[in-house]
Amino acid sequence: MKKPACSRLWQVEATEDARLGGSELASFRRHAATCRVCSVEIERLRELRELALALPHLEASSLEHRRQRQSLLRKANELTLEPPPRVSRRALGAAVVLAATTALAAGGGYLLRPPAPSAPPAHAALHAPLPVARQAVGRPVRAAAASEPSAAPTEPATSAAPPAVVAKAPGPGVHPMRSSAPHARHAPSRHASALRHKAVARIPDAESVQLPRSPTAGKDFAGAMSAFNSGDFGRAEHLFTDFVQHHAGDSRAEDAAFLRAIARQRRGDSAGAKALAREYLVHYPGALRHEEAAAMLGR
Amino acid sequence: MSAALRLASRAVSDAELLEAVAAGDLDALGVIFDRYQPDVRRYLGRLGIPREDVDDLVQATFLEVVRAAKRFDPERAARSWLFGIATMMVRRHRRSVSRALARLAKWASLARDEAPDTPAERFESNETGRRFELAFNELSTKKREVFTLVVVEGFSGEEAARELGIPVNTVWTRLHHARRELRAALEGGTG
Repeated sequence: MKKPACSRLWQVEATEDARLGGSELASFRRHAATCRVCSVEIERLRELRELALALPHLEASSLEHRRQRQSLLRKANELTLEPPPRVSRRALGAAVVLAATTALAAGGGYLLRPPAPSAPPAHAALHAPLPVARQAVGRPVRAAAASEPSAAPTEPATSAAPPAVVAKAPGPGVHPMRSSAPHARHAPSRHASALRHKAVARIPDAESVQLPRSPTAGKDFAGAMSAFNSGDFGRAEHLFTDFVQHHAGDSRAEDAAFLRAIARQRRGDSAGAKALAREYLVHYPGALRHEEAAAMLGR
Repeated sequence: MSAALRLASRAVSDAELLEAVAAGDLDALGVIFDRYQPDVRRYLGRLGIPREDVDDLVQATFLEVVRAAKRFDPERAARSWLFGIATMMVRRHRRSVSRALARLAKWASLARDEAPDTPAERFESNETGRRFELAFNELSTKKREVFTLVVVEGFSGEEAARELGIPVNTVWTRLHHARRELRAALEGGTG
C-alpha cells in the first residue's frame, strides 16, 4: 500500500465532514496553510462538492407543484377515511367453513332430538323467518326480498319465534343499521353504498320505536355531505351539527357527529375538533369511528 | 389571520405542523409539502430515480408522512426525517419487481434520438461535469445515499446515519469510498 504523501492527509476529509473540532481543527488549519499535499486535497474535495451541487436536478414548475399538492391532499383525505385492513380472504373462508360446520351440527342435533310437545308443527317452518343475519347487537334480522314494497314490522310467526323486521334498501323511514364488522367501516359515501346492498335492519327496540323519524333527515344529511365533499367545511360542520340536534334518533346521527369533528379539523381548528371528537366518544362509546376519533385526541 | 394562513406562516414550526398532521389536519400536510417538496424531489432525482417515477415517490413520501407523523420526535429535524422516509420509499421502489420490469420495457422502446432536458444539456457541455455525472450514476446505491445526504444536502454524519439506519462510522467509510470512486473517474482512472 502506498504511503500517503502527508501523514495528516486523512484530516482533510475529516475537516470537510465536520468531524474535527476545537484545537484539532485549529491545528490542522495551521498545518494545511503550509502543506502543499493537504491544500491540493482540500481543493479536490471542494471541486467534488461543487460538481455534486451542480448536478442537474428535477424541479417541478409551480403548476406541477399545485397539481401534485392537490393530488396529495386528495389521497391523504382518502387515507384518513379509509377503512382499517379487511379480514383476509383465508380467515373469512375459515369463518364461513366453521359457521357452516356449526350449522350442520346444530341441524343434525335438531333432527335427531325427540319431538317436544310444545314444538310448533312442521308447516310452521314455512312461516318462519328465512335467511337470518345476526348483527353485532345480537338481534336476529331477516334479509329482505328486493321486491318487497316497504319496511314494515311483521306479526310474530309463533310464540317461540322472535319478532322480526323485514327491510329493504333504505327508503324513506327506514334507516339501515350498521354492522360493527370491519368491512362496514367505510368513508361516508362508500359506507352508504355498502349499506344499500346489505339491506338489513334490526328489530326496533323500545327507544327506537318511540323516536320520530323525520322525513327531512335524508335530505338534511345529504346536504351536509354535499357541503363536506365540496370542501365547504364551515357549512358542513353547521349542517352536521343541525342534523345531530334535529335527528338524534337517526342512525346517521353518529356519522354526522363524527364528520362535524372532521369538518372542524379541516377548518384548521384542531382544538375545536378534539373537543368535538371527545364529545362524539362520550355520546357513542362503542362508536364505529372510535379509533379515528381516539386518534384525533392523540390516544 | 385564518387558520390556513397561520399554518403557512414560517412562524409555525415543522414539529407543530407534523403534530397537526398526526391529528388529521390536511392543511398542515399541504404546508409541509410546500416547504419540502422541492428538497425531496431533488433528493430523489439524485438517488437516480427516473423522472417518470419521481412524482410517484414524492407523493408516496408525503403520504407516508400522514401515517408516520404520530411517531415524529419533535426534537429531530423534520427535513432529515423526511429524507429518511424518502430513502425508505426509494428502497421499496427498487424492490418492486413490477416496476423494474416496466422500466425495462420502457428502455427497450426508448427512442435513441430523444432530446435531453435543457439543464442536463447545459451540464453536459461541461466535460468534467459530464464525467462526474456518469461516475455519480455508477456509484452503488448505498454510497450514493450517503454522498447525497452528507455532501449535497449538508446533513451531518449522525443525521445521515440515523435516517439510513446505519452506524455513523459506516457513513464515513461509504463516503470515503464514494469520493475515491468519483475522483478516480474524474482523473480518468475508471471514467
